[in-house]
Amino acid sequence: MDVNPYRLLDLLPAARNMMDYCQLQRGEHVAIFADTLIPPLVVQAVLAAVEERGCRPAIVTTQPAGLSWRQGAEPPRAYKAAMYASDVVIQLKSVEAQTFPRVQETAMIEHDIRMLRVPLGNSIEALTEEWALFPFEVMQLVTRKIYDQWTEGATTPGDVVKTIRVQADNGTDLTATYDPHYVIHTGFLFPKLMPGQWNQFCGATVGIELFKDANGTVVFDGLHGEEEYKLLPPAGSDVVHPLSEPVRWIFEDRHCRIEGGFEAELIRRLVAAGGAHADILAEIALGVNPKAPLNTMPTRRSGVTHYAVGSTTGRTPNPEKESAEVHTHGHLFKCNLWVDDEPCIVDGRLAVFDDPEVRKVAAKYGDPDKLFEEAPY
Amino acid sequence: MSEQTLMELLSTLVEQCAATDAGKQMIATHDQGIQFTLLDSDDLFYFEAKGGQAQVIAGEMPARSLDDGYEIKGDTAVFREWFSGQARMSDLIEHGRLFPVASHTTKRHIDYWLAQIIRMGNGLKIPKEVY
Repeated sequence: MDVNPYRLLDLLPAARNMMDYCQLQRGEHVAIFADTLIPPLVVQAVLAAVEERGCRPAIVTTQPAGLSWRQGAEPPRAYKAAMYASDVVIQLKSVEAQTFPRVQETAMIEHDIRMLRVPLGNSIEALTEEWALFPFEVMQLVTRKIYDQWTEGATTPGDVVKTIRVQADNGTDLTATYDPHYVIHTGFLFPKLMPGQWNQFCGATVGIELFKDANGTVVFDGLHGEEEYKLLPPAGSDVVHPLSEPVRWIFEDRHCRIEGGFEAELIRRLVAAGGAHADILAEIALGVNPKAPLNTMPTRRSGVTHYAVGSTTGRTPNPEKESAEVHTHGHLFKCNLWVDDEPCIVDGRLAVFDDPEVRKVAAKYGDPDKLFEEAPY
Repeated sequence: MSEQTLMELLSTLVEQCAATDAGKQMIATHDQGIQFTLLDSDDLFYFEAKGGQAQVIAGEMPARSLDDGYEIKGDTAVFREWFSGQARMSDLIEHGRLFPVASHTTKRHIDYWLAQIIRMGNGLKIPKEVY
C-alpha cells in the first residue's frame, strides 16, 4: 500500500522557487547533491524543476553531512569532479552542517560555481510548507536593507566602528561593537547570484562575525548546530529546544562565561576543547523568513537572533590572532535589537517589514501583511 | 635583471589579461577598487577596474562604499606566490596566509573575479576548461 500522501506536483512549487534562488540560465549544467536521507520524491521534484528551465542536471548521492564530513576530510574524486565541472550546485541536505567546506570553497572561488544550499530535514513535508515559497526578490531586498543598516557609513579603506545592542524580557541585554567589514549576508546582497557566491534557500541571514568588544548577557531559548545536540530532545535534530533550564552566556570584554544546566555543561565542554580563543563572541545574526519553522530552522526565522563563540571556519577574520576549533551556537526567539540606536527588531518583528519599498515589492506576490505574518509554530 | 615589484607584477598580469577577448570580458564583469596591504612592508598599491578598464596604482585607494571597495592583506611573499601562479587564492585564504578584509560572504564574487584575472594574466587555463 502506498502511504505517501504526496505527489510530484505537490513539491514542484517549492522546487521551482529554488530555481529562482539560484537563477538558472537555460543550458547550464546543474549538479544536485542529495544525501541519503533526502526522500527520492524531493530529488525528483528538483530534477524536474531544473529540466523545466532547460538546464542539464546530474544527481550525486552522498552520505549525510554529519556522517561524511570532518574538518580537513577529502571527498571522493567523483564528488569533486561533479562540483568543479558544474555551473550551479544545488545541495539538498538533511542536516544544516556543511559538507566538505574546503571543496565547496575551491569550487566557488576557483571554478566559476554558484551554489544553493537547501537544508530540508528528512521529510517530504518540508517542501510543501509556506517557508519554501518565500519569494527571492522580497528576501533579497529585506536582506539588503538590513545589511545597509548594519554597515551604514562604512567605507573601504575605513575604520568606522558601530554598536549593536540586543535586549529581551528573559534577561538578555548585550552590547557589542564591530567593524562593518565583517557583516555577513549569505549571497543576498545583490539581485543576481554571481559565481563565487552561495545562497541559502529561503533562508537569508544577516550577521556580524568579528567584534571589537562585547559586554552583557544573552539568555537562550535553544541551541543548534552541533552533532552532540542530536542526542538531546528533540532527538535526531541538531536543534535543542526547549532547554531544561535557561542557558546564559555572560560576556566581559568579548569573553564568555557559560551558565545553565546540563546543556550549558555540554557547551562548556565544546568550548574547552576549542582552544584559547573558543570563548570569544564570533557571531550575532538574524533570520528574515517569517514562515521558517522554529523547531527545525530557528536561525532562518525572521526576528530570531543567533549567537556563536569561537571562530568562523575557513575565513576567520583574524586567524593569526584568534583562531579557534569551535563555532558553537545558541538562539533567542524574541528580542529588541538596535544598531547605533536605530531599531532593527522591535518586539520580535523586523522593522524592515514596514519599509514602504519592501512592502511595494512584497505586494507583487500577494498581501504584504500575509507574507510578513509570523507562522504560528 | 631585477625582480619586478608586486605592483609591477600585478600590472603586467592585468595587461596580459586585458590583451585577450576573454580577459577583457572578465575585467568588465565588475567595477571595483581593491587595496593591497602588505603586512611586512609600507608599500601600498591598489587595483582599480571601471567600465572595463583596469589599472594598478601606487598608494592608498580613495575611500569608497563597501560595495565598491575591498582590501586584501598579506605578506609580500604570499602575494608574490599568488600573482606568479604558484598558489591559489582559495588555498592561501584557507591556510590563513591571505586576509581578505571582509566577511566570508560579502566579497566572494570579487574573490572569484580577481582569481580569474590573475589566472588569465598568467596564461593559465580556467579550471572549468579542464573538465
